[in-house]
Amino acid sequence: MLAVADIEQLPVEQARKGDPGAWDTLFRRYQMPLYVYAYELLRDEQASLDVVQETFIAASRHLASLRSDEKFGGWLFGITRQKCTQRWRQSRREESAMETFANEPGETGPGADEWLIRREQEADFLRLLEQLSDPQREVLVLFFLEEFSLEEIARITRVQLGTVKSRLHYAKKAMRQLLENKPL
Amino acid sequence: MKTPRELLFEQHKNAQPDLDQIRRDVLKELAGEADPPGNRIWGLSWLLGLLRSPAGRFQIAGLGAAWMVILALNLVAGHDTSATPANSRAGSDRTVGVAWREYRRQLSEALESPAAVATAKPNQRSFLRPINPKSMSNV
Repeated sequence: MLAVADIEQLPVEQARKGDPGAWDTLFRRYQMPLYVYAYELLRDEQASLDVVQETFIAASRHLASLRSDEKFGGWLFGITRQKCTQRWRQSRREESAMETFANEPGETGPGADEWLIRREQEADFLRLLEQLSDPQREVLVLFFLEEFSLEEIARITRVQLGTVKSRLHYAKKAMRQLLENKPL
Repeated sequence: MKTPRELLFEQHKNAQPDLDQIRRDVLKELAGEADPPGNRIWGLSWLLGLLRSPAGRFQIAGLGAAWMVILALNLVAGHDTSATPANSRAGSDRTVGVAWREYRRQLSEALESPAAVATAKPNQRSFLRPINPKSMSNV
């Protein structure tokens, strides 16, 4: 299974050398996925825009710390998550309140682009996302947006691999029920 | 039929103008920060680009030739510098002689006319400047 970021050549090396065009390409490529991810974590449009801006600035300043160019996408999402966490802490929202799951065996289901939503299901899909717990929604969004591997999602979200598997398993199960018109 | 990704992007399409503005702002900020390594790379790529094109090679060859001519002229001029002080000293002596004669002529004219002597007085400030006795004793 190819991740979305694996099939494209990103000008990370040129950006490292300070090429503004390369930065423009990278920002264009990731601005919407990062915004959607931040929004699904924060549920606040303005805060999500701020997080995207902070992510871009942090990325441009700390790109030298990225050891492997092909992990640029995951690294960027990791920064975004860090910024969101800072905001959670600022708003005194306790991370411990987030639901945790017992480890479940991972599954190798269809790729992100193989989940197809019919027009009449669109509203249900968006409602389902809202109904999912924050951790479940986060892994599902990362999977759908960039098709990150479980290991990458674990690295971005800073949780155990087993926990990511579990969260994704439950989120996909809920999605499957929705798409098969089964009651949730 | 849409993928979840497409659906999520569509849901947030209203944020697109704001995101574009953020991207432009950050790029502007990046451009504002001095980046010497980037400039060096740009300079190097410009030179390499010039070398790659045939016209660029002629331009570089022409510039090199011009520099060689300038260098050669400079070296030739450098050999002649031994003669320069004597010539310039002779010219300088002549100039000083003419200036000295002119000065003596003006001085004699001034001494002959009292009005001219009055105008020849030192100005007020230098005239009133106190003399430091210590500096005088050092002399």
